[in-house]
Amino acid sequence: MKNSIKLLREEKRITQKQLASQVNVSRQAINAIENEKFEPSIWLAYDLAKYFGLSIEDLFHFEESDRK
Amino acid sequence: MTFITNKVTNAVFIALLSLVYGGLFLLISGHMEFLSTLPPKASVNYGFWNTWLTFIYDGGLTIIGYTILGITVAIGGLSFFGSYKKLDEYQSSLLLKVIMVSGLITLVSFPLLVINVLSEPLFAIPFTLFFVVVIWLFFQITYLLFLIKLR
Repeated sequence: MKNSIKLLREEKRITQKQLASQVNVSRQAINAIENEKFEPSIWLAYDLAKYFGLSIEDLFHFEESDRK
Repeated sequence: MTFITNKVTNAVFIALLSLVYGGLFLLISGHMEFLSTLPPKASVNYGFWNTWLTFIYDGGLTIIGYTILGITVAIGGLSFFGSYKKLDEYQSSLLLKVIMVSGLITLVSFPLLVINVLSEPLFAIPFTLFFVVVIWLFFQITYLLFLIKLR
């Protein structure tokens, strides 16, 4: 799923590892989410959105074509 | 899915099964009573199976037994001393894929084993051992690669 995590993370000048430790997941998880290889659970999406001070819908770009 | 998220629990589970498999192979390799249950060498027309039978006769199960135990030690080391003791949801999803592929290999192996046993009943023990080795070593190696990828 498309998202703004990489953009926002780079704006904050933090590494994937630092973001990962903020939301209690591995660096690989953040990398996979940024590269749209993994869709996070609703709770991880919530934690990420909360960290960036956004809503889930603002952080993750919901498109009908992505619906499974 | 929470039952697979603890690397240490997974390692203990794998170690217990590996001790059974590895120990069994080390125990029966070269054992006279076990060898007496095998068909004579070169008793089928398939080169591969005769090679496998010769391998068993020559004590090859010892190598497999030690290999299984060696991989178990590596899995234990990576699980106990790795950076994360608990897998997150992304890592769990990767592990689930490893388990699914191994499960598929197991499911495919059973009908192949049955076909082979029915076509060459004398070879039932070498066939069974071969599929056990393939299934367990495949799972161990893929799990080890998974742990290495996490580092």
